[in-house]
Amino acid sequence: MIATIARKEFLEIVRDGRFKWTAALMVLLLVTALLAGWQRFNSYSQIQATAQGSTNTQWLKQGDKNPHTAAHYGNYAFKPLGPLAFFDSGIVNYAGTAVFMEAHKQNFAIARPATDTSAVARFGELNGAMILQVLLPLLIIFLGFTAFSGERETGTLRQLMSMGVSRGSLLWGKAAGIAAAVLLVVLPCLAVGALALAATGLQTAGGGIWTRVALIGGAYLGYAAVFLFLTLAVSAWAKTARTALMALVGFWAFTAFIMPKTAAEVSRLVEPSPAFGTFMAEMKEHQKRGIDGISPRIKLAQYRGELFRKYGVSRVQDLPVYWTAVSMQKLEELDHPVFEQHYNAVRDEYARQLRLQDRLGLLAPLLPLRSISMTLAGTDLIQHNRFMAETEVFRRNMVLKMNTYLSQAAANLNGVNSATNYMIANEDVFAIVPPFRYEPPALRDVIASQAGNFTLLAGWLLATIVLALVAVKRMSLERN
Amino acid sequence: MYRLIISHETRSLARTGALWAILALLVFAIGFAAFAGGRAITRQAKGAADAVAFENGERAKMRQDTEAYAAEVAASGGTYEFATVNHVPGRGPPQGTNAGVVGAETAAYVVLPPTGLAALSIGQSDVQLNYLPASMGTTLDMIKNLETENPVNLQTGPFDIAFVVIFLLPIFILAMTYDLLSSEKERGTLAMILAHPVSLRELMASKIVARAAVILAVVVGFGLLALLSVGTQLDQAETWVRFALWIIATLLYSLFWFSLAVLVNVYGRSSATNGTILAGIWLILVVVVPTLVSLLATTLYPAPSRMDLIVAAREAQTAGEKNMGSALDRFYSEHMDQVPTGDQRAMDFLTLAQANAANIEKALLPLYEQFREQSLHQEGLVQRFQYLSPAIMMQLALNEISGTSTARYQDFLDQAFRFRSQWNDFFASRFLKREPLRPADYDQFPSFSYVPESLTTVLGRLATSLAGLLLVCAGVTLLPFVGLRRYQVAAR
Amino acid sequence: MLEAIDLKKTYGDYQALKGLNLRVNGGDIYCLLGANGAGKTTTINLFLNFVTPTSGVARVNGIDVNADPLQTKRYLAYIPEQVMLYGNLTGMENLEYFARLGGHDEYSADDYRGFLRRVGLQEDAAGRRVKTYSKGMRQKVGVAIALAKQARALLLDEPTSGLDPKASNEFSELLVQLKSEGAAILMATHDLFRAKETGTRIGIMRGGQLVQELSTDEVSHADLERIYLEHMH
Repeated sequence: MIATIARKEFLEIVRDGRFKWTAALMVLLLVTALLAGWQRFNSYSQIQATAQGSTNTQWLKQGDKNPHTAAHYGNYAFKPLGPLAFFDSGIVNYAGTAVFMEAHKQNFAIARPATDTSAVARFGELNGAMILQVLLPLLIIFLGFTAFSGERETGTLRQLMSMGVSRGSLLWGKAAGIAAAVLLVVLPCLAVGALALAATGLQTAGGGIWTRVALIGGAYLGYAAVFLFLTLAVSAWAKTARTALMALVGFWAFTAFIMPKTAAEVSRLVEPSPAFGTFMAEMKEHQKRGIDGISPRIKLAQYRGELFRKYGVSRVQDLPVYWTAVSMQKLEELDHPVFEQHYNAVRDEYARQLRLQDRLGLLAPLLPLRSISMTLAGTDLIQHNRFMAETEVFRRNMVLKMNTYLSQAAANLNGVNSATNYMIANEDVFAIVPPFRYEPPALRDVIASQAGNFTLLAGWLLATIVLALVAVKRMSLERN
Repeated sequence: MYRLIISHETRSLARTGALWAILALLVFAIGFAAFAGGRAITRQAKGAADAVAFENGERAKMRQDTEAYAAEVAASGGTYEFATVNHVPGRGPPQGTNAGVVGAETAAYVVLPPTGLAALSIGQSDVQLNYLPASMGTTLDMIKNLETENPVNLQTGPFDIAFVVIFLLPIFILAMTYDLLSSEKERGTLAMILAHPVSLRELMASKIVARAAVILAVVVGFGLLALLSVGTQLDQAETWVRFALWIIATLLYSLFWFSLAVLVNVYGRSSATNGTILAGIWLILVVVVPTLVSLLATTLYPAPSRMDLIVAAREAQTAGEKNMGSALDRFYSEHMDQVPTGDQRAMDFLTLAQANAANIEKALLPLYEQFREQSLHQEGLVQRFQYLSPAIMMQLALNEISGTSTARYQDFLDQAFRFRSQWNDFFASRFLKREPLRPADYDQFPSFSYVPESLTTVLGRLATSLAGLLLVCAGVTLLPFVGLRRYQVAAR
Repeated sequence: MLEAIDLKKTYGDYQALKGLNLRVNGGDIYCLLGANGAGKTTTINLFLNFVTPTSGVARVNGIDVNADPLQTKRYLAYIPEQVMLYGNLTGMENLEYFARLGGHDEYSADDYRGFLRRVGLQEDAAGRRVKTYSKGMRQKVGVAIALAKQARALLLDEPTSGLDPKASNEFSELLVQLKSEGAAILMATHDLFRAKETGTRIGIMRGGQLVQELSTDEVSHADLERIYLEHMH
């Protein structure tokens, strides 16, 4: 019975003019988006790999110099992307792709691609994720809003029910028919996507490419099903086809355009983050003031006093350790808690903002899906924050290694603190700092971070199925 | 006749819940957008003010030190000298006397002042910071373009009034007009009306006028309220000229969507079909075409990667350093306070650092040019392709009107770069001549004053978008009148 | 008052009307009989300029409908099978709207109440929204519109189908009243009984042609039915 209904529904849709146009547009856009995404990802990856290699070499070949000066020269970390970035570029364009790691300063990521695009870029990027998140639901609505309302208007619904078809099987049949038509459009495109993916070499940091693909696929399938059952529910509930269409398009615009922006503004309101100028002014003041109100200068003097007591001397020149090196390391460490407080505060604010937006997914299924998609593609905020945290670990280690080398090397010389006592380090010394390597979070942790969003999406699916069943059970067969 | 139908339509509309729901949503959206836009601009302004205040504070402290030093010199009868690099607080010339130190260690923030309407269209202003630090470093240091804004929110984009007008207003307009004739036809009232001496054209025009009057009154009225509550510089004529342009653009854009609904209705299809067609056209014009144009722009004219820029800068830096004095100087150039008293060689470090920065700058110049060129190409392409979608024209127009356009920012950058070299020259020349900075010199520091673009320049850039909107509007408005002749009142 | 001269309407290959000649004078009730698809509604639509004729002329009060449709509509009133009104407006408001569309701004609220009283609508119904009205009540508002418009010609398209006998009878009485005031009435109908009772002349259509015209006082009811059925075979 269900199969019969599904076949009829499928044929009816596929023979409709609406289907031809929307399907053609959808295929065209999806294939364009996937290929463009693939091209973008490839060029990004090439540039990133080359740049990272070059800066690593530049670090080693920076010329013989004092190791602390080398720490000032520092190194750059360029953010690598996983292959699924071709499908969902997430926040890549807006998050910064390079971090300067230098002595004394923690830095934000710079080189955001968004600053080099024109104003139209703010309409959004045409990528696979965008199409499946925004366009696919509309395709489903277009193909399905007349499912019940249209049959009621033409009177075939009464006829159908008089044949003894159960309302439940009518619902499932129609759902299967529409789903088949939608898959007919989407699947070939996704095959193109899979080919593109295979062409990228399937290397992914963090591992489990096919697990990721399966989970992303499942999430999008669930999202599409939410719209499918919602469409059927509204079609059964609405008095006329046009009412159904209006309600559904309204909900679509709400979830795809209004809610993401509203959620962003609400999260800004609840968890405001300071502007760059404010942040910098506050942090630098705090740095000068010292983390606990005692200025680094005083703390450094205290530290010197400690060393004097420890070694029983009263002049820097008499210290057995190289004061320049240890004082610089001390200053560095005095800044660490200040950096942590300020930079982590901003990062935590971002994370809280995102969590709040995810929770607003109770009102719009797009929000949890967006997070799932980005996160599994590895182009999300959490992984960006992790990248930033890792660059700080690298930076501290680099500075520590250089300062330590400086003080140790000095210790082997006579007159450790004499005026002419400075070290020249060469490539071999710089090589004790291992090149930067970003270690993305384990797949298990990535998936676990999205448990809430998967639950939300599953809740949406369940709710819309129940809604559709109830609507179909209560459906009126008469036109008025 | 028109008045009769319009008043009838208004009365009928007033009795449907849909109208009130739509108006309530529209008013709420405008209110929320004004609030959000206002907050964004306030936050930006605070960021700029804080950055400026911090740097000014640093220089004020240096100046205080020089004043104390000057008093000390005057009292002891010594000479006012240039600071050595090993500065011990309270002893000898303070760092504030060293032009190289003041110029390099403090930055003068150049600020692009927002226009009175900035809160109405955030445009690119959330990714292109409107305050940049000018110091003796390189241009690269100036345009690192940082912003402590959640990238998720940046990617989503702001909920500003431009969003309401470009994205939501058409939806509301189409929701009220998609069944303009088709619903009357489906209800059967169309035949009742047309049995009277009323032409279809009169009927259609009156129906549109009734709806447009209600919606546009709300948009313009609440737009004005938004301006009064979150706009700035309300006492300046320019703000009101810009607002007048805002109204013109908004009216043209709205008219386009009203006319489109008429055009689709003229073909006499059912309400459901009209709704599908209009929703599809909305999607294509507001979402698909702009993203395609953006894709085209970045594919045809990709900006050079900033990663490449960074690598090139470092290459130039290393090359420069290898030519730069001794390793000791290099070390001292980073750590002035570590230089032992009396080590005169270290005095050359700033000279060398200067030369080095100039080297980097020279090496990067062609790359900057490339950025600029590609950005101009992209902008040119967008300017040419904007006519494909009223939404693009509208976005460009609103950005231009609110002063958040790419062109205005580019002009600001030019001014900022010029100021940076002015700042650089001021301090470099004094430093190289080893002239000590005196307290009075602090009043002579170059200060940035933004030269606003003339309104004519703005209008010139705006003209293409507005003319395009007008043209598209006129086309879509006239077509229905041709098509109406063939309209079939009675089904066969 | 209503005049069709060699009126033709074709849709592609299909000929809906094959040269109709017809005349309805003031004081006439001309009933068009015929099966579905015979061309009755097309004829009415042509007089209303809802469709443009392929050839021939339809005239109202001597004016070519196609040349000056707005002028001819001043003399016309149209009552379809379902008089469609604005559900959210009251009977009075609907009447006022349509009367003023017809160019009559001169009436007062009392006048409108008078029209509705004349067509037999209950007093309390006039102020209610039309979506609560029965079909009979709507048809009465339709006649009230014709009255208010002071229409000199009425075009009725199966106005009584679906009405209960009492409502149908009341409606016919209204038509007779209008006829006696000099209106020309053209009514498409399937109701042979009503046609004979209220009509003055009858035209039988088939396949887009007028096949016979008769005067109602010339034939008995039984004759009419026989003649009609003969034409239908």
